[in-house]
Amino acid sequence: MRSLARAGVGTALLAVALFVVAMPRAQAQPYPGAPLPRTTDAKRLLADARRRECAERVRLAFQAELRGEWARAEAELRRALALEPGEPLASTAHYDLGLAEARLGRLDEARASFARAVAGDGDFVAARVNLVAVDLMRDDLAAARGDADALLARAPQSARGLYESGLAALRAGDATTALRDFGALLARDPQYATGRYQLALAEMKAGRFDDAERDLRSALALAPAFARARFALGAVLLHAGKRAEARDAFTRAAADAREPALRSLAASFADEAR
Amino acid sequence: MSPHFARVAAPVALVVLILGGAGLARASLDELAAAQTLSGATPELLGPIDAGGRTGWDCPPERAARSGRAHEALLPDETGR
Repeated sequence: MRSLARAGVGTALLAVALFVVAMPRAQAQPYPGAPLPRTTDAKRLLADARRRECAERVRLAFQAELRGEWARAEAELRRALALEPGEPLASTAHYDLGLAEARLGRLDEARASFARAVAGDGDFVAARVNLVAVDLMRDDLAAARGDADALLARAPQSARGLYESGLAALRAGDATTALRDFGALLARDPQYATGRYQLALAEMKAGRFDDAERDLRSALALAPAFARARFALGAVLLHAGKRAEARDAFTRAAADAREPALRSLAASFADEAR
Repeated sequence: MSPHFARVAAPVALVVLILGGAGLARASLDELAAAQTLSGATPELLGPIDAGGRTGWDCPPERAARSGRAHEALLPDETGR
């Protein structure tokens, strides 16, 4: 009887010791997939529930956007943002909301959403890229150039940043900046024919027709059926007084063009150059 | 007005002015360059990002945004237009 009692006390002591050792570890153990410790604190539980709901709504919106269901995505994202999430959820939700708004044709609202994403996380380069793209879609060249400068300050190697900055400069008539940006883009990726064509346009704008001809020929060497580049080459040759070569370029551009407007334009120029 | 319509209409309108007004001989290179510039493509918006994708920036849009290579950056390809 006495030995049985000793065994019972020993077992109880062992149980207490195991509890003392295991309890702090259990409390510090996170929930699966969530970097939060276990808790029974009501405020922390509420905050965690909100964070989980927000993440789930962003996930649902993401899937809706992949299916092209922009209105559904917008509804989920607005409910997610109403929960006032922290980072990086907040900037992610603003980014996805901007994308939905842009697809729904509400470009001013899209710009505001991408700007909020950038304000929430300055290192969010995709949000900066889309902010400039929306500026360009809105034809707000001043905003595009300012936002592109900020983008390149954060990510100077970004091909998207260089392209968008160059495009904004070219549309604004700033050939110097366009030459710098497209030149930097091509230094990293010399095989990008569309970029070489844009560089040639900037060179034409700057009056550097020999350089433009060289770059257009390079673009056409990379992509022989590049109708826009062929058309631009015709214009440069025409400027140089080479009417026969210009006519050939316009004729070939008309043959290669898939867009009816460009095809018609090139054919007209070929006729006029005869 | 759709972006596609704008891309096509702008150069056409300009060319009508050029050819209908003074003829090819007096069409300036600036106008020709402007017609091309107007039809230059704005890159497509980068796609959606899931909440989990922001962890360590492991998501395609952010990788495309930071890339220095045109094809990885999903830049427009106008060579077939």
